[in-house]
Amino acid sequence: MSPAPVLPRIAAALLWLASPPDDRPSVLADFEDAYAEQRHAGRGAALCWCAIQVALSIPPLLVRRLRVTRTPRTQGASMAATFLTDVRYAARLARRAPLVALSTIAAIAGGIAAATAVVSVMESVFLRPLPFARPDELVQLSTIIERFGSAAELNYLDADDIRSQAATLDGVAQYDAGAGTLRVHAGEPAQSVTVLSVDRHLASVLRVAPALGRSFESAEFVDGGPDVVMLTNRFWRERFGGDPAIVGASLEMGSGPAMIVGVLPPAADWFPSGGSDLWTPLTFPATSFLNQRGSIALSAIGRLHQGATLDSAQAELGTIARRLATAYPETNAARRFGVSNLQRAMVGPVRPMMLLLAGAIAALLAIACANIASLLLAHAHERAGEFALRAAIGASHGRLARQLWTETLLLFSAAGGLGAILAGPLARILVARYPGTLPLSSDVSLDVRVMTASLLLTLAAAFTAGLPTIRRSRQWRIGAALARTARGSSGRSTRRGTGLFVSAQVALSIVLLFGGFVLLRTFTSMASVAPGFDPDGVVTIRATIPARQREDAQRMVAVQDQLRDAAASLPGVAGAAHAMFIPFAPGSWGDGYRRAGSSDAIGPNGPFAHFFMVSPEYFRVMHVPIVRGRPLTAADDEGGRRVVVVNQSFALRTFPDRDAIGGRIDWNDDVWEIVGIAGNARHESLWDDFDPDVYVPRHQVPRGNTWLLIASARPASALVAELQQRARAIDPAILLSDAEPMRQRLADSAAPERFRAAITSTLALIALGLALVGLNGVVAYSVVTRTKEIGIRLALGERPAAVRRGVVGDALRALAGGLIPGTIASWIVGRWLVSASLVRTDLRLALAAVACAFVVAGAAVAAGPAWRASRVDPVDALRHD
Amino acid sequence: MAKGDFVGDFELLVLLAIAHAGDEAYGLAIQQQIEQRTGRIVAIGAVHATLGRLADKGLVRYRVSEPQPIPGGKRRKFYRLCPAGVRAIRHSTGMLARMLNGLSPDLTEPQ
Repeated sequence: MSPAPVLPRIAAALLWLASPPDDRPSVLADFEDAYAEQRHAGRGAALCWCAIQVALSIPPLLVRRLRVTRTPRTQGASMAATFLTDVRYAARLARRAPLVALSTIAAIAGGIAAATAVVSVMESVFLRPLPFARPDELVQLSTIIERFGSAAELNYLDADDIRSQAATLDGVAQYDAGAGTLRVHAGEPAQSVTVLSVDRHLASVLRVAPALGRSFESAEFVDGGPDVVMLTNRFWRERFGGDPAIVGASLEMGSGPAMIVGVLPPAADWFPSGGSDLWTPLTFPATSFLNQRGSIALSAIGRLHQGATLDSAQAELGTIARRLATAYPETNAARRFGVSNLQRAMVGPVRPMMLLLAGAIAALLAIACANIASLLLAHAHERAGEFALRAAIGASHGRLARQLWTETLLLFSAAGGLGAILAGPLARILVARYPGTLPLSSDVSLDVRVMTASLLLTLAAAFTAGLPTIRRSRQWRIGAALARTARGSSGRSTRRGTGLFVSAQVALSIVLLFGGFVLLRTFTSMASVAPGFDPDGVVTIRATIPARQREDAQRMVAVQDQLRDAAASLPGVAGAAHAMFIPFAPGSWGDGYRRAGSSDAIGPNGPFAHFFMVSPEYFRVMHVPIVRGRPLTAADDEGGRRVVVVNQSFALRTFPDRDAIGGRIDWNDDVWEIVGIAGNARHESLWDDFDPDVYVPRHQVPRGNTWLLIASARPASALVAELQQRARAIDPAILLSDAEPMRQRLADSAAPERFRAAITSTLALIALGLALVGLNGVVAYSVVTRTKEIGIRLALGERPAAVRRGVVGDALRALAGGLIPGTIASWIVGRWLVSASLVRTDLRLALAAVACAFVVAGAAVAAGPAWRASRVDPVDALRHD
Repeated sequence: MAKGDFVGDFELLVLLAIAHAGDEAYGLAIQQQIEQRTGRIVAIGAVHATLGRLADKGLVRYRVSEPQPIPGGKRRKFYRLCPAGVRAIRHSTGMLARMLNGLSPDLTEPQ
């Protein structure tokens, strides 16, 4: 039996606070039972029900509670009675201006919900320690090569040396995350999964023991050993419903059947960033490139020896690196090692995005507060007469201040409560929609720290919004109020106060609008970046060739060719190719090479290029132009001359002073002749420079990894289903997965840019709206309070146009007060965005555009009140109250 | 007629729901009675606040149950109508009936 669903803690706390002490158990019991019932309709519906019920229940309960506690007349009770009167009075006022009250509550609730959600995600990501034993001891190891910078990977043999030599490290483990395919039951479509290949040290370095079953045994870490997997806890729960009987069962992996030997504990879901679905032993043949000093391809973590520090480990790694450089100068001469705290390394990549989100939401919340502060101030100003009267008949300033605080706090606690309830679902949406991986397991919970932060946020917001009004209320004395009415113009200090709020809102909105604008420009400008191939009308499908077909290279290539021919013969398909790696999909083969017969350094100091093993149709299907020479052909097979096609960037860099065609390079233990030059293409990000690329005939470097590229306008799902049918005739164990149009892969590569642009421009538009509403309110209010003055001026012969200019000028002056600080802050934010490489566009142009837009919008917003001001009838104005 | 016999709309609904619920008249049961019969959304908190008010007026009384003998068993207030509560229902519904008396279903005076 599953445990009964628990009423959200925040709802329980609010109800507990609002209920009369005597009724607390029964109220909570009723809510718990009813909530459990609602949960049958789903979590979302239950939360919605809960929010409505709590919101509707708190006012009657609170009124009842205050009445019950008032009955015995004590000091505290009389305070409660005063409070109750204040609450009732505030409620009456809110009912009189329901739109103001409701929109205020909605704005603040939205702001607090968004801020709390971001705080909770940030707390889970940055502040919660990794759920492993002694997480501070865990470190990430990296290799630094002067020319290429740092990569969070170690060479396999280097890792062995570090493991045996470093006294500051208790263990060094290596792993590799990759995509795999999986079929649980025969006949069902293959599923794409994230597979973590782990070495024999990883579990002990992380200190994780299986939750079910057993860990991998040493025989399973030997190449050719039994195929086994461990399920991560999340995958086990999601895919197998947490069935303990699954241990011992067999799965069909790409390489063949594999036995499930165990299930990992939930902690392992946190590692690496974004988690994985399966763990499998890392094995490779002794001849693999992984087993050569030149390759750097496996991620590595370690655990500090007790008492060792990052600095001492770094120093020792320096010594080891120097030792290795002497022993293996060819590969290790320029190689050093880095060590950093694992958690810090995991959260590093998401930090700019989180700061951006937090900053944008904080700015929005501040704008909402400033907006409400000026609203409250204007509202209170209208009530100056009332306050002056109450003061005159004996209300102390403290009593009036309490009244104002009660109103403000009531408004904000309603908003804060609503915001707190909405924050949880919002945080989950944020995690679900986040492009890329967040270093956390699936749960983001709102714990005490987050709720406290939310409460403080609410109080701070209430304080910011309420303080100006309350400070001002000191001045409302009967004489001043009467004089004000007599003079008929708004007090200078009120205008100065609201002007300040408008300036603050304008400044913050400019920053947000500018941020949204440059991020949007960055995203849209990606559409005009040419990838160097035509992504339209190309469908990509990953094929996993079973292990037994891969034992013989020629047979494997034959299977790949058969698959390609099967794809090409499908209806509505114009052509097909296969390749080892494709652009905008994980995986690439970067390698050193040298001009044949030259003394070029090979390795870290020599030239470097990406090598693409492709079938001859690749250029036609992808529309990569052959600039000169010839493309690869079917004749370039295993028996043929070793030939390659290179891109223009390669030709220019390798043979700057001669024709590259006919040039020869040493690579992969062979000499290769360049027969053609292809156009440049991007393959990882649209922001890439054009790297030197080499296209190699597939038959001459056979590898098992297979992508199919199909020229067809038909949907990917239909193609993959039909191709799976035909693949059965070739080998029933072939798995097809990751079917996606190439256009979609390109769009996915821009997902972070799209997410940033969407979020910031949405927030910026809300901010702009709030700021303009605020400006409009302030201008309209100042016109109303100055009706008499304007009337007199008109009566004395001032032209209406001059009045209009005056009002618009006032608005623009308030705007200008925010324009300058806003521009300066925008520039600082813009520089940060550029330095965090979130933005690639011209900042100055964007800033000018935003500032101009603001001035135009401000003038437009002031036009209404200005028009009304110029139409004031002097006779009416003098009668104006 | 004592002043306490006049009850508001919602109070009347709560009193009638207690009558319907019989021995099982506690907050949630009453709230569900009203929701099911009237089709309007009723706040659980409003029911509790109203029950407290009705008890103050002497129209209902309650006993506090022992916690149910299961884990997480809950302590609840079970309500009953007092004679004054029954009178208040009769009084209010009687008034309504007398006001409706002589009106046709479309609320016009029959010709």
